[in-house]
Amino acid sequence: MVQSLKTDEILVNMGPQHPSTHGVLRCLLKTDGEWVREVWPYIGYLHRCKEKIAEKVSYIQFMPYTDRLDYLASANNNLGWAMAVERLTSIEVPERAVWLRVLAAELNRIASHLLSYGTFGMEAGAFTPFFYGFRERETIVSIFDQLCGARLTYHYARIGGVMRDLSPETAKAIRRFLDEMDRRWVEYNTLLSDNEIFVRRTANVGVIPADLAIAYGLTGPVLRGSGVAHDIRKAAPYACYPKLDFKVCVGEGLKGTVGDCWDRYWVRMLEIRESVKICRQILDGLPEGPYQAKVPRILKVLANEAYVRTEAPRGELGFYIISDGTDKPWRCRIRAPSFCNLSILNRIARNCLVADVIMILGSIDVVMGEVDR
Amino acid sequence: MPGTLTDIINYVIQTALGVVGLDYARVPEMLRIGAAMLIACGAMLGYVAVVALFFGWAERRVAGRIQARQGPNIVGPFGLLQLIADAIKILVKEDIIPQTAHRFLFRLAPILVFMGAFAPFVVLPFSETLVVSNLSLGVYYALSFAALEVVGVIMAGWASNNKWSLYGGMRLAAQMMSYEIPMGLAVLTVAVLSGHLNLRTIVLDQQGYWIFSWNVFRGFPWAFLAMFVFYLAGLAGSKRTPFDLPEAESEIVAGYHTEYSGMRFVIFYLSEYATMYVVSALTAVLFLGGWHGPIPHVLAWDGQVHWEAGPVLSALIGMVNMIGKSFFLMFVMLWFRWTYPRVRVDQIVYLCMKVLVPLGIICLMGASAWALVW
Amino acid sequence: MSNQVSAFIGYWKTAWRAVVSSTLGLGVTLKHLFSRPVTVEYPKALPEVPEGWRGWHAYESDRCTMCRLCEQVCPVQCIRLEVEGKGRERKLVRYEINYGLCLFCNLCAEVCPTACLWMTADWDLACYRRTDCTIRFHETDPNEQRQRLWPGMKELPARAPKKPREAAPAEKAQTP
Ligand code: SF4
Ligand code: SF4
Repeated sequence: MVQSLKTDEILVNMGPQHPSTHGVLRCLLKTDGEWVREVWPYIGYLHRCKEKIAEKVSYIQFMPYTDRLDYLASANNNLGWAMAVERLTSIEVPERAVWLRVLAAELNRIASHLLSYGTFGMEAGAFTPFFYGFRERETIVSIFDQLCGARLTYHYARIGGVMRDLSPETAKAIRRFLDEMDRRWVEYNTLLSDNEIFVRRTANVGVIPADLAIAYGLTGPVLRGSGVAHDIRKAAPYACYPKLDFKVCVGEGLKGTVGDCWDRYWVRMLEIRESVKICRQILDGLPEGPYQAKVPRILKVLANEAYVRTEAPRGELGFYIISDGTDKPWRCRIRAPSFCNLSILNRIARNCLVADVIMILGSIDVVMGEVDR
Repeated sequence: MPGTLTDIINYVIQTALGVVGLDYARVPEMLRIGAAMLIACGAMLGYVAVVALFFGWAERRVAGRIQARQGPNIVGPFGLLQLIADAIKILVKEDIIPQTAHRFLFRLAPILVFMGAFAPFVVLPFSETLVVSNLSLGVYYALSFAALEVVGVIMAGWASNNKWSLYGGMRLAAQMMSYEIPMGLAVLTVAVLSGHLNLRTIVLDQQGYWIFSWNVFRGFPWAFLAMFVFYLAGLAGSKRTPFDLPEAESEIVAGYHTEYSGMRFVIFYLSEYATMYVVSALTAVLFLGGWHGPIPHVLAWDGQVHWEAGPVLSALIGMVNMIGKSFFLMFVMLWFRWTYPRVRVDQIVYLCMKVLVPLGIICLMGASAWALVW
Repeated sequence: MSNQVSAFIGYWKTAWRAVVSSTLGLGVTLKHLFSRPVTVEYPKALPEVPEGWRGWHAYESDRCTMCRLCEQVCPVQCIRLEVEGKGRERKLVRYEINYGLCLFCNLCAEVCPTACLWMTADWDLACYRRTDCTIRFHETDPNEQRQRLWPGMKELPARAPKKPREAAPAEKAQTP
């Protein structure tokens, strides 16, 4: 009798056109009713040959392309590429430029985490956080308007410096924004983080134990959500981070188990606050001086190789460049954090509900532009 | 004085025909009742459409303002005509039926859903006189028609031949089935308190000591809790956030109406608002004193407030009260929707079976005890 | 037994938390319901675009030395420059930018030695056909072309005021 009631598993395609797969990720779900037995992510729908393009354009020309890797964190990508090229060519970057780049990167980190907050709320079914997150992100984007004249593809950091100096008005706008952010942060938590429905949806869901996270090479908030205090900004300090005071936020399992979706989400929320702190310090301690070093118009790089890693909002962003003496990289390999983070989806999204898969995917917070490159 | 809406309509027709010199009384009674019913239902249908249009607008407007946006504000004053513009747009849209769908069931489903949503309007009293059909089992009539909606939604989910639609349909089935229990328990609480199942009598029963004779306060802790049970269960029944799993956009695309477009989609849309209205109106009738106003409109206070206004005026005031209460409760639904995340499919059953049902039983027992004592 | 007791307490604690957090959440949205929206009505109220925005290019052919640096630096090769003649007789016959490709990266403007190419604060870039994306700066007034694409489009703002010559990036370094 019981055997005859056995139900079949069905395969469901989630994506590439699906409201919550963050762009064009396709997930194949093996489901047994509402239960999901296994998830296979299929990637490549947004592949734009970024690494190949890098071999075809010069070092300077590749900078605008890095904007389009993780398009939610262009400034961080710019910073990574600029640092990689500077390490190859040993260009000395003026101190002010370094600080300005970090300022842009941290502002962008806030913007990126805000967007993640919004979409995560949306995936949980709450629409309003999305708009609140976007409202504050809009302010950051307007600041970038003034800083570099673009809203999404900033192209702010340049090899050997930054594009423009920070004007006093922009600095004032940033300060205003940071103050507002402090206020809004509390509101966000009242609306979403502490909401019992939200907590119930995310706590104890998609738990990634610390050892598993390390084994899968996860980085960024996904790793820190599992309680591993690893942040490139502290572990291998670069730019002006050693001079700044901030702390590495880790998940503590406040609402459930360490490493659940809520922890990953909470790490992002805490990082918003840390970034606000960092931005304040930068505005206070911004050194005077030039903002752009002398860089030859045609940048020839001797045969060499360099790997530079930076902490992008989604984790360790690495640029590995092999140069061959011309003005173009011989090979460029991009270690995209989203790509590595996505690899764990199949492992943790097993034997959970369809709704949990969405939350897990949202808490990993992938950007397909970066996964597919 | 005529008793119900149909009587009023009959009365109007009779007078009108009398003016032309025809004797309406000679028309067979069945025909007379049928005609009056048809007209009354037509009026209700119009009312449903207006409510749905208005709340379609209100939903966007409220959503807009809550989300620090403007909301619709271009077409007409405050964008009020936006929905009419949308309706026209949708009516001229191509009606797409997927090739692999079951064509007959695909077409039938929205009609069933709308029937389920619309049927309860027939027993909703707007005032003492304004009720289409004064059924003696009005509450249960209203609740039982929700089952028709379940059938329609499952049908829609299955006939679309889309896996996400099927998910939506099955989710709704599970959800509605389970939430009918706490809903029934909450209704029983009221039934025990007032001793009737007729909606009109239930409201008439709540007349007396201003708002304190409303069921919420009359059977204080029990009916008060029962109201929340009823409202939450109704929220789940009308598929609203936080219980909007059957159409959970971020999970299963658009749930059971993923494949629907044009007119058929509008019917689903209309039924959602109709169901919301029914739940709000029932909450108002069962717990919040129906057409009795929060402000006693006769200021003579001798321990009892009398309805001393004329029949037309009292009907109007009653209607305003009733619609005001229902609209407020609907607004709360919108407010919930734009505030809360969605619960998960296991949690929705947990909430029903482990929270609302026990609470409903407690309410019922408490109310019974009170009924025995007094 | 104690397990059951703690489960019972946990049940009520959760219920209490749920009620409190839900009510607080409603408060946040209610506050917003009665506060001013932050968005603007786009066609009526235009967004404020700061100076130094990277929008359409502006180009002054009389100052152009036809050095082709902009063409070379462009990462997507969307600038097309054709020159006739040699030496002093050189004449510009074609200068077009394909905005279907342009990244709006500002590299071309930064590299121009005479600063005759710069990016303006005009962001209204939509057009109906793909072929319309190419603006021929050498031909007529670009404004005229834009009007043809989209009647009623506003004038290029930065055409009229001449931008003072700005130093190339390498020289900028000396002026803090
Ligand atoms: S802005 Fe960049 S992409 Fe556009 S024309 Fe200039 S160099 Fe080329
Ligand atoms: S870089 Fe400037 S001067 Fe040289 S060709 Fe281009 S627009 Fe003309």
